[in-house]
Amino acid sequence: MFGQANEVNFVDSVKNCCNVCRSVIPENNKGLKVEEQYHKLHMFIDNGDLDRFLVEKQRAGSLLLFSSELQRYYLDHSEAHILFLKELYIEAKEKHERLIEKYKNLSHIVSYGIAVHDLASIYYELEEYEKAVEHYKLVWVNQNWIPDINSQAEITNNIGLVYLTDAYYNADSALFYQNKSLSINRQLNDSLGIATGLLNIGNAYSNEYEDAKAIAIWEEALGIAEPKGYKDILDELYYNLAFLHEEQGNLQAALAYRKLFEEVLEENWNRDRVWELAEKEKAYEVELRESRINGLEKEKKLQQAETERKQWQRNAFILLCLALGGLGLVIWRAYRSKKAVNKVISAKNDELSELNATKDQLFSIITHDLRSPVLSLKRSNQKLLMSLVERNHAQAIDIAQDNRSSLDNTFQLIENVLNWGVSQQKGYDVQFEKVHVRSLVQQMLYDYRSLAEEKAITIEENCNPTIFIRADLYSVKVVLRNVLDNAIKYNCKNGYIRLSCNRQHSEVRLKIENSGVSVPKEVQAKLNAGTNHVFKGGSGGIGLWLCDDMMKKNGGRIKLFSMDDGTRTCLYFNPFKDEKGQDIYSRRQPRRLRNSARRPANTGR
Amino acid sequence: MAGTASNSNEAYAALAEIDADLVILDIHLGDTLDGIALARAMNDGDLPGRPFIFLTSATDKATFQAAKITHPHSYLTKPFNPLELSYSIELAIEKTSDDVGQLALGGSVEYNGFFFVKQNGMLNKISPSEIAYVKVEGKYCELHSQDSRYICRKSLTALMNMLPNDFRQVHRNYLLNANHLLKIDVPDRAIYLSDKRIIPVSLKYLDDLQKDYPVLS
Repeated sequence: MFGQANEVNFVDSVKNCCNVCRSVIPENNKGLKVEEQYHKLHMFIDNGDLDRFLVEKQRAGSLLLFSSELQRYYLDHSEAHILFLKELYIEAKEKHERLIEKYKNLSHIVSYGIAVHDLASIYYELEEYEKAVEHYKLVWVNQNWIPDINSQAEITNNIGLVYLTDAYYNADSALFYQNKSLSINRQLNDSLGIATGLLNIGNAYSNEYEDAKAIAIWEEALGIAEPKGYKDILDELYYNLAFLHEEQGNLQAALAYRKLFEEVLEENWNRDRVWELAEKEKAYEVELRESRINGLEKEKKLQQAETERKQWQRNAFILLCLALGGLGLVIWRAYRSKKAVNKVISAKNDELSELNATKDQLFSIITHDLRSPVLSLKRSNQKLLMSLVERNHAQAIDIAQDNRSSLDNTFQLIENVLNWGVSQQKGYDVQFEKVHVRSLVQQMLYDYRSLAEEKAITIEENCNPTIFIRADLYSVKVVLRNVLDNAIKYNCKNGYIRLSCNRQHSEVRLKIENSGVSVPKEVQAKLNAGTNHVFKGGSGGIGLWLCDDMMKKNGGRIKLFSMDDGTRTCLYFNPFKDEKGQDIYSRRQPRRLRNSARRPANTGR
Repeated sequence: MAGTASNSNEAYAALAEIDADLVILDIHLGDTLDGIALARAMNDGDLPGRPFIFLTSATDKATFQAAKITHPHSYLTKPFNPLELSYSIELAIEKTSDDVGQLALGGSVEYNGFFFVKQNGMLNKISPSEIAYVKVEGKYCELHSQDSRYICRKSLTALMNMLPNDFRQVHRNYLLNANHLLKIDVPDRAIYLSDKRIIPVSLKYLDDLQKDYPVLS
């Protein structure tokens, strides 16, 4: 690359500027680094690795600021020059223009001249001929830079060519510079250069219509070119000569030259074909590479798409999992609530079926229990009728009395069933009021005295007259009626019923003891346990159960105890309390009053 | 008993006229205006508002419900239990006077200007004119009639306000029914009642008493 003489010089100058190559040790580490950097860079040029140089120089960046100006110049110059060599003219032009502007104070060194020369050549290549000529002349005139003789030949040749172009046509100037170039080439003994120069001079003459001179010059050029076989020049020379000879009427000569031209042209064409093929091959190679690159890019895109797809899949999967989890939770919750509802429903169902069973049982008991007394009444009515017909009054009275007691029992049963129906109704509201226990007990006893007398049962009522309870009067009456009824029904002849009412702890206890049959142990156990809702023992069972229910509604309870010769029933109630929360019955009992008045104590007489 | 009526028109007229303490109503009185309508009339104020008790042979639910909304004191069914009836009557009176349980405890209930008291299982209505004097005994008062005395759980002042003007205070602990006053023994500061009983009189009230009743031995 840097093959020409001045370029070799340039490379040497670059090397000479390197302290590493000159074994000059810098003062500090940083300096050393900078020097090493410079050395590294210029070594790329030495090794011909120009691309690497460009890359590394870009990479070195700010470190180069610490290098000397000359070093920086050489590096910039190298960069610009490499671009020029690579025929990247636009970039090279820019770099060169900046280089020349930046390092004006280094204009005395030869390298600077080379740079100007290069810039001129770039202008020439870019067909900016005016600037090219200007810069060529600058190099030409400046004695400091006069580099090697090759360059001089090139400069003069190029200036001459510029003056031959249509825009800057000047035959005299063109001839002047071409002749100069020619003489330099002659000096150099460069036959191609001489031939080229002669061709150009001939062109100049030809343009000035000095055909004879042109032909002479061209034939001289032909003399040099033909033996050497400079085909690029030959084709033009033959063509030009053929053209001029034709003009002058030398048709034979023209034809001969024309033939020669055709030959050369064909050779050149063949050569060019080879080149063209090579070019095509190259283009094909490039295309292949490009397609490969495209393929790779496509692959990359595909991969990216694949990655995106996978990401999307993963995200979708996560979302799906979350959604499924949420759904599961919802279902679980719904299941739970449904289960809870079902539980309630099944509990209600159980309750209902139990109630229904109770109802059925009750129904069968009632019908059974009603059937026999009604049947016996029917029979005894017949008997009664008979005795009335027979006027047997004593018998009639007996029958009527039997009937009455039978009816009483039946009535009690019906009452209980009615009460049970009422108590089972929704919204059966107990109305609590202050109830005087003794009055209530006496009222209740009134209805049973005649029954008791029939069985010669003595009734002892010994209730505390000061006790009041807080209760629903109606339901307490039902309970008492049942208890008293049982107390008489299961009593023996000449038996007793003892009632007493006292305060027990925080409750009021109404105790009813009766002689006769003891309550069965199982009934007692069931009732006391509070799970007696089974009518064991016929209609009597209904009564007890009703009592339990009613007592519970009153906030109290019923307990049965079997004694050796009878049953003890205890009813527990809440005592009535006044506004201050005091039990009413705990009030001081009024003194017993005598009918006679006392004398006033303070009548002093 | 203030009176009886065999049908609702009679009852309506009688109730408007006499000042009954309590009304016992049958429901089916024989013609269109039945006992429930009468009860409603008493509630609405067309008739003197008095406590009433239903005593009827009607045991059906519809009748009971209809009766219930007239707020009777009791709803008794025939055949009736006399003890239950009397208890219901006592309770009605006690409730109207806001003094439930008083009668059962042997006390008296003041109602409608009279005193009601239970004696030997009977409810007695005592007119204030029968009461000769009132004596404070501890936390309650004793009402002394000619042959009995009754407990009244009221303060002397409350009794004073309630009793007719014939009663006047003669001592810190005594109220006197002036109609029963026979003579005043000023030196002994004693009052002789018409039934020969004697109650004390304090100086504070003696002068006023002498002015109004210049009866001296």
